[in-house]
Amino acid sequence: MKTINLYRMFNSDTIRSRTTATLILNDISKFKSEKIVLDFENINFVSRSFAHELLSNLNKDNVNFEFVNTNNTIDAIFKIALIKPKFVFSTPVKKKILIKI
Amino acid sequence: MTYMEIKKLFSTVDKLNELINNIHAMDVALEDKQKYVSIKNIEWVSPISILPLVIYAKSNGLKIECLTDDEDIESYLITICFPDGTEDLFDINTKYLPITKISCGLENSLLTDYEERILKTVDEKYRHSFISALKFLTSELQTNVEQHSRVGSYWILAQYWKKTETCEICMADTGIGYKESYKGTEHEVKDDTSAILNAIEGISSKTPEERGAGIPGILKIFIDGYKGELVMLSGNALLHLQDKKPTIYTCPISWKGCFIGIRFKLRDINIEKYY
Repeated sequence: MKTINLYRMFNSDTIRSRTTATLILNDISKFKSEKIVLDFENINFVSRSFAHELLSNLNKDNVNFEFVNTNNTIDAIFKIALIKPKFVFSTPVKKKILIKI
Repeated sequence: MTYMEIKKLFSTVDKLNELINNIHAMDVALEDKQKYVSIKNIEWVSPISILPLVIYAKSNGLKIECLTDDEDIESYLITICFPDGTEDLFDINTKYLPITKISCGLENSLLTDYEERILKTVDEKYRHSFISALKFLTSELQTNVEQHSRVGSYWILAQYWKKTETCEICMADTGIGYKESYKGTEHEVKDDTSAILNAIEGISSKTPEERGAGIPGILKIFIDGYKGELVMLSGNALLHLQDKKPTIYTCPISWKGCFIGIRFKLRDINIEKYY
């Protein structure tokens, strides 16, 4: 079993970048045969982009993983990370902005 | 000398008209090879009115000066580090929310510091639900700059008005803009208007299919959840979105990159309902 402590790795309580997820995935790829424990202790927020990048690649690579010490916010973000939200809006009205002389 | 003005306007549409006229005034100054532009009749400053002017002037080598006798406005302009902005917050009073340039580097703490400052200004009763909404917004916009703009940094300016419990947050970059970012993909479009509409529909220039969720996610939280307004400027297209009704304007100016502004009244929402 390999445990990765994200706060220790990035020294930040907020993790938002897709590049950060790529770094974690690179680290994980060295221990592919082991179970990976991702420890979110002291992490207060992860972005949807980070969660999407991490989760989609863990699933794609069939990694045996577990998230520990996640708060409710992080749990909620991971839950929606692979679902695309749809914002419904009416047909746009097209206008022009005129310059006052 | 070319003059701009920022009046006390309450409608966002009026503010946008004024903004585009001010950017056009800078274009005229540049055509005339002027080095300075002035803001006169400055009655009220908000992030949507001022941040684009600062960035446009800086990226075109123009200097902005402000002609005002109003001490409150003068004092506010000092707190936001007008007209140059700042690239660090160490020496700046923690109560201030200045015009700040942030690099997209790995988990840059400057954005986290800026978010802390925004949260401190907001009424305590709203902070708990607002913290996730705010971080969702800033993180997705930063990711868009990082992934699509081909520049390594962006600008942020926020303001909270206690009396009306209203917040305005703007982020802008001077990268390639939406239209160019779709170029060469299956979603390539012919103009900036179509590119902005692609973005709000969540069409991504990248694969897989579920990417492009950032902007629709922001809209669900801030338009559906907070009942706010969104402004988006890229190339010569300007979007104003309120309720479910988008109005898209063709402008006589061109913004190199993307500018996004959100204006909303704070209230307690269950953010998970809008994810």
